[in-house]
Amino acid sequence: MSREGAKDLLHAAREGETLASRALDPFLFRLLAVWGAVYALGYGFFPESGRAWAALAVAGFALSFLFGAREAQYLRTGAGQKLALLWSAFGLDLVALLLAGERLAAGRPLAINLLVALAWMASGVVLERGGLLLAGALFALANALVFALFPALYAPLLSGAGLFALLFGLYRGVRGLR
Amino acid sequence: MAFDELIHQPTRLKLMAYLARLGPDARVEFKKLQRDLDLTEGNLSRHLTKLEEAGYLWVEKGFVGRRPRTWVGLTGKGRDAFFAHVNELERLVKGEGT
Repeated sequence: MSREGAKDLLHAAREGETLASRALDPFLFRLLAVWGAVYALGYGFFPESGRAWAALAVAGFALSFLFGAREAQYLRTGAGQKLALLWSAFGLDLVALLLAGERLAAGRPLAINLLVALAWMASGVVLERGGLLLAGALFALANALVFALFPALYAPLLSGAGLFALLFGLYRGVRGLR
Repeated sequence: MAFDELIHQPTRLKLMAYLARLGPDARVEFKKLQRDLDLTEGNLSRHLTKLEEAGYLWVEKGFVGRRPRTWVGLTGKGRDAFFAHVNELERLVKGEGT
Protein backbone atom coordinates (compact mmCIF):
# COMPACT_ATOMS: atom_id res chain seq x y z
CA MET A 1 0.00 0.00 0.00
CA SER A 2 1.27 3.46 -0.90
CA ARG A 3 1.74 6.29 1.57
CA GLU A 4 -0.93 8.33 -0.27
CA GLY A 5 -3.37 5.42 -0.04
CA ALA A 6 -2.75 5.15 3.69
CA LYS A 7 -3.32 8.91 4.05
CA ASP A 8 -6.68 8.65 2.26
CA LEU A 9 -7.75 5.80 4.53
CA LEU A 10 -6.70 7.71 7.65
CA HIS A 11 -8.77 10.61 6.36
CA ALA A 12 -11.81 8.28 6.12
CA ALA A 13 -11.21 7.16 9.72
CA ARG A 14 -10.94 10.76 10.95
CA GLU A 15 -14.16 11.58 9.11
CA GLY A 16 -15.92 8.75 10.95
CA GLU A 17 -14.60 10.03 14.28
CA THR A 18 -15.77 13.58 13.50
CA LEU A 19 -19.25 12.33 12.61
CA ALA A 20 -19.37 10.44 15.92
CA SER A 21 -18.29 13.51 17.89
CA ARG A 22 -21.31 15.33 16.39
CA ALA A 23 -23.75 12.46 16.95
CA LEU A 24 -25.42 14.21 19.89
CA ASP A 25 -25.63 17.62 18.18
CA PRO A 26 -29.31 17.47 17.12
CA PHE A 27 -30.26 16.65 20.72
CA LEU A 28 -28.03 19.42 22.12
CA PHE A 29 -29.53 21.99 19.74
CA ARG A 30 -33.04 21.01 20.84
CA LEU A 31 -31.98 21.54 24.45
CA LEU A 32 -30.54 24.91 23.50
CA ALA A 33 -33.91 25.88 21.98
CA VAL A 34 -35.86 24.73 25.06
CA TRP A 35 -33.64 26.56 27.55
CA GLY A 36 -33.38 29.58 25.27
CA ALA A 37 -37.18 29.79 25.42
CA VAL A 38 -37.12 29.43 29.23
CA TYR A 39 -34.63 32.31 29.52
CA ALA A 40 -36.37 34.51 26.94
CA LEU A 41 -39.75 34.08 28.67
CA GLY A 42 -38.48 34.10 32.24
CA TYR A 43 -36.21 37.12 32.03
CA GLY A 44 -38.42 38.86 29.45
CA PHE A 45 -41.74 38.64 31.28
CA PHE A 46 -41.29 37.34 34.85
CA PRO A 47 -37.84 38.37 36.08
CA GLU A 48 -39.06 38.77 39.68
CA SER A 49 -41.57 35.92 39.94
CA GLY A 50 -40.27 32.81 41.72
CA ARG A 51 -43.44 30.87 40.90
CA ALA A 52 -43.27 31.60 37.19
CA TRP A 53 -39.60 30.64 37.15
CA ALA A 54 -40.32 27.40 38.99
CA ALA A 55 -43.02 26.53 36.43
CA LEU A 56 -40.71 27.37 33.52
CA ALA A 57 -37.85 25.35 35.01
CA VAL A 58 -40.10 22.32 35.55
CA ALA A 59 -41.34 22.58 31.95
CA GLY A 60 -37.76 22.95 30.72
CA PHE A 61 -36.58 19.87 32.62
CA ALA A 62 -39.60 17.81 31.55
CA LEU A 63 -38.97 18.62 27.88
CA SER A 64 -35.21 18.05 28.22
CA PHE A 65 -35.66 14.59 29.72
CA LEU A 66 -38.35 13.77 27.15
CA PHE A 67 -35.92 14.63 24.35
CA GLY A 68 -33.22 12.67 26.16
CA ALA A 69 -35.44 9.59 26.37
CA ARG A 70 -36.23 9.91 22.67
CA GLU A 71 -32.55 10.28 21.77
CA ALA A 72 -31.74 7.18 23.82
CA GLN A 73 -33.90 5.17 21.39
CA TYR A 74 -31.30 5.92 18.71
CA LEU A 75 -28.03 6.32 20.54
CA ARG A 76 -26.72 5.22 23.93
CA THR A 77 -23.24 6.08 25.07
CA GLY A 78 -21.40 6.27 28.37
CA ALA A 79 -21.14 10.06 27.86
CA GLY A 80 -24.92 10.33 27.40
CA GLN A 81 -25.52 8.51 30.69
CA LYS A 82 -23.05 10.81 32.47
CA LEU A 83 -24.83 13.83 30.99
CA ALA A 84 -28.20 12.59 32.29
CA LEU A 85 -26.72 12.22 35.80
CA LEU A 86 -24.98 15.56 35.65
CA TRP A 87 -28.10 17.49 34.61
CA SER A 88 -30.25 15.61 37.13
CA ALA A 89 -27.83 16.79 39.82
CA PHE A 90 -28.08 20.30 38.44
CA GLY A 91 -31.90 20.02 38.60
CA LEU A 92 -31.63 19.16 42.30
CA ASP A 93 -29.39 22.17 42.87
CA LEU A 94 -31.88 24.35 41.05
CA VAL A 95 -34.76 23.11 43.20
CA ALA A 96 -32.65 23.78 46.32
CA LEU A 97 -31.95 27.33 45.15
CA LEU A 98 -35.61 27.95 44.34
CA LEU A 99 -36.61 26.64 47.79
CA ALA A 100 -34.05 28.91 49.44
CA GLY A 101 -36.23 31.65 47.95
CA GLU A 102 -36.15 35.13 49.31
CA ARG A 103 -33.21 34.59 51.65
CA LEU A 104 -30.95 34.75 48.63
CA ALA A 105 -32.82 37.86 47.45
CA ALA A 106 -31.17 39.61 44.49
CA GLY A 107 -28.28 37.16 44.35
CA ARG A 108 -30.44 34.18 43.38
CA PRO A 109 -30.44 34.69 39.58
CA LEU A 110 -26.64 34.99 39.56
CA ALA A 111 -26.26 31.88 41.75
CA ILE A 112 -28.50 29.90 39.39
CA ASN A 113 -26.72 31.10 36.28
CA LEU A 114 -23.30 30.30 37.72
CA LEU A 115 -24.56 26.76 38.35
CA VAL A 116 -25.84 26.64 34.75
CA ALA A 117 -22.38 27.72 33.57
CA LEU A 118 -20.76 25.02 35.70
CA ALA A 119 -23.11 22.36 34.27
CA TRP A 120 -22.21 23.53 30.74
CA MET A 121 -18.50 23.29 31.50
CA ALA A 122 -18.91 19.82 33.02
CA SER A 123 -20.90 18.77 29.92
CA GLY A 124 -18.04 20.03 27.76
CA VAL A 125 -15.61 17.85 29.70
CA VAL A 126 -17.89 14.77 29.45
CA LEU A 127 -18.44 15.24 25.72
CA GLU A 128 -14.83 16.31 25.09
CA ARG A 129 -16.12 19.48 23.45
CA GLY A 130 -13.84 22.43 24.09
CA GLY A 131 -16.41 24.84 22.63
CA LEU A 132 -18.98 23.93 25.27
CA LEU A 133 -16.38 24.32 28.02
CA LEU A 134 -15.41 27.75 26.73
CA ALA A 135 -19.07 28.81 26.30
CA GLY A 136 -19.76 27.85 29.92
CA ALA A 137 -16.74 29.83 31.15
CA LEU A 138 -17.76 32.90 29.10
CA PHE A 139 -21.36 32.61 30.33
CA ALA A 140 -20.14 32.61 33.95
CA LEU A 141 -17.83 35.57 33.38
CA ALA A 142 -20.41 37.63 31.45
CA ASN A 143 -23.05 36.92 34.11
CA ALA A 144 -20.80 38.03 36.96
CA LEU A 145 -19.64 41.18 35.13
CA VAL A 146 -23.10 42.34 34.03
CA PHE A 147 -24.61 41.49 37.43
CA ALA A 148 -21.93 43.52 39.25
CA LEU A 149 -21.52 46.45 36.86
CA PHE A 150 -24.87 46.84 35.05
CA PRO A 151 -27.56 45.20 37.22
CA ALA A 152 -30.39 46.96 35.36
CA LEU A 153 -29.31 45.27 32.14
CA TYR A 154 -29.05 41.78 33.65
CA ALA A 155 -32.58 40.55 32.90
CA PRO A 156 -32.93 42.20 29.44
CA LEU A 157 -29.56 40.86 28.28
CA LEU A 158 -30.33 37.32 29.47
CA SER A 159 -33.74 37.49 27.83
CA GLY A 160 -32.08 38.57 24.57
CA ALA A 161 -29.46 35.82 24.87
CA GLY A 162 -32.30 33.33 25.49
CA LEU A 163 -34.11 34.49 22.36
CA PHE A 164 -30.92 34.11 20.32
CA ALA A 165 -30.35 30.61 21.77
CA LEU A 166 -33.97 29.68 20.99
CA LEU A 167 -33.70 30.78 17.36
CA PHE A 168 -30.26 29.24 16.84
CA GLY A 169 -31.29 25.98 18.52
CA LEU A 170 -34.48 25.80 16.43
CA TYR A 171 -32.60 26.48 13.21
CA ARG A 172 -29.95 23.83 13.87
CA GLY A 173 -32.23 21.39 15.72
CA VAL A 174 -34.97 21.38 13.09
CA ARG A 175 -32.37 20.76 10.38
CA GLY A 176 -31.31 17.67 12.31
CA LEU A 177 -34.83 16.28 12.87
CA ARG A 178 -35.41 12.75 11.72
CA MET B 1 1.76 -6.11 10.27
CA ALA B 2 -1.75 -5.42 11.58
CA PHE B 3 -3.44 -4.67 8.27
CA ASP B 4 -6.95 -5.96 8.30
CA GLU B 5 -8.38 -6.52 4.85
CA LEU B 6 -11.93 -6.36 6.18
CA ILE B 7 -11.55 -2.96 7.87
CA HIS B 8 -9.39 -1.68 5.05
CA GLN B 9 -12.44 -0.85 2.89
CA PRO B 10 -13.03 2.95 3.37
CA THR B 11 -16.74 2.76 4.29
CA ARG B 12 -16.13 -0.01 6.82
CA LEU B 13 -13.16 1.92 8.21
CA LYS B 14 -15.35 5.02 8.62
CA LEU B 15 -18.08 2.94 10.26
CA MET B 16 -15.62 1.35 12.69
CA ALA B 17 -14.09 4.78 13.47
CA TYR B 18 -17.55 6.19 14.17
CA LEU B 19 -18.40 3.38 16.60
CA ALA B 20 -14.96 3.41 18.25
CA ARG B 21 -15.15 7.18 18.89
CA LEU B 22 -18.51 6.79 20.68
CA GLY B 23 -16.82 4.67 23.36
CA PRO B 24 -16.79 1.01 24.43
CA ASP B 25 -20.37 0.84 25.72
CA ALA B 26 -22.00 2.71 22.85
CA ARG B 27 -24.91 1.31 20.87
CA VAL B 28 -26.37 2.97 17.83
CA GLU B 29 -29.66 2.36 16.10
CA PHE B 30 -29.49 1.37 12.44
CA LYS B 31 -31.39 4.44 11.15
CA LYS B 32 -29.13 6.85 13.00
CA LEU B 33 -26.05 5.08 11.71
CA GLN B 34 -27.45 5.20 8.20
CA ARG B 35 -28.25 8.91 8.48
CA ASP B 36 -25.01 10.01 10.16
CA LEU B 37 -22.81 8.06 7.74
CA ASP B 38 -24.99 8.95 4.75
CA LEU B 39 -25.33 5.36 3.50
CA THR B 40 -28.17 3.52 1.80
CA GLU B 41 -29.98 0.84 3.79
CA GLY B 42 -28.66 -1.95 1.57
CA ASN B 43 -25.09 -0.67 1.61
CA LEU B 44 -25.02 -0.32 5.40
CA SER B 45 -26.61 -3.76 5.86
CA ARG B 46 -23.96 -5.42 3.70
CA HIS B 47 -21.09 -3.81 5.60
CA LEU B 48 -22.65 -4.62 8.97
CA THR B 49 -23.14 -8.25 8.01
CA LYS B 50 -19.48 -8.63 7.01
CA LEU B 51 -18.24 -6.99 10.19
CA GLU B 52 -20.64 -8.99 12.35
CA GLU B 53 -19.51 -12.25 10.73
CA ALA B 54 -15.92 -11.36 11.60
CA GLY B 55 -16.93 -10.78 15.22
CA TYR B 56 -16.11 -7.07 15.06
CA LEU B 57 -19.67 -5.91 15.71
CA TRP B 58 -22.71 -7.16 17.52
CA VAL B 59 -26.16 -6.58 16.07
CA GLU B 60 -29.26 -6.81 18.24
CA LYS B 61 -32.84 -6.64 17.02
CA GLY B 62 -35.71 -5.56 19.24
CA PHE B 63 -38.72 -3.32 19.58
CA VAL B 64 -39.34 0.11 21.07
CA GLY B 65 -43.08 0.11 21.55
CA ARG B 66 -44.30 -1.53 18.36
CA ARG B 67 -41.49 -0.22 16.23
CA PRO B 68 -38.72 -2.63 15.26
CA ARG B 69 -35.21 -1.39 16.02
CA THR B 70 -31.78 -2.73 15.17
CA TRP B 71 -28.94 -1.82 17.50
CA VAL B 72 -25.28 -2.00 16.58
CA GLY B 73 -22.16 -1.88 18.76
CA LEU B 74 -18.45 -2.57 18.50
CA THR B 75 -17.03 -5.68 20.18
CA GLY B 76 -13.72 -5.74 22.06
CA LYS B 77 -12.22 -7.71 19.18
CA GLY B 78 -13.48 -5.06 16.76
CA ARG B 79 -11.98 -2.20 18.79
CA ASP B 80 -8.61 -3.96 18.97
CA ALA B 81 -8.64 -4.67 15.24
CA PHE B 82 -9.64 -1.10 14.41
CA PHE B 83 -6.93 0.55 16.53
CA ALA B 84 -4.27 -1.88 15.30
CA HIS B 85 -5.26 -1.11 11.70
CA VAL B 86 -5.16 2.65 12.26
CA ASN B 87 -1.76 2.35 13.96
CA GLU B 88 -0.48 0.48 10.95
CA LEU B 89 -1.81 3.16 8.59
CA GLU B 90 -0.17 5.88 10.69
CA ARG B 91 3.10 3.97 10.62
CA LEU B 92 2.89 3.83 6.83
CA VAL B 93 2.15 7.54 6.53
CA LYS B 94 5.18 8.32 8.70
CA GLY B 95 7.25 6.31 6.25
CA GLU B 96 8.02 3.45 8.61
CA GLY B 97 6.37 0.79 6.47
CA THR B 98 6.51 -0.37 2.86
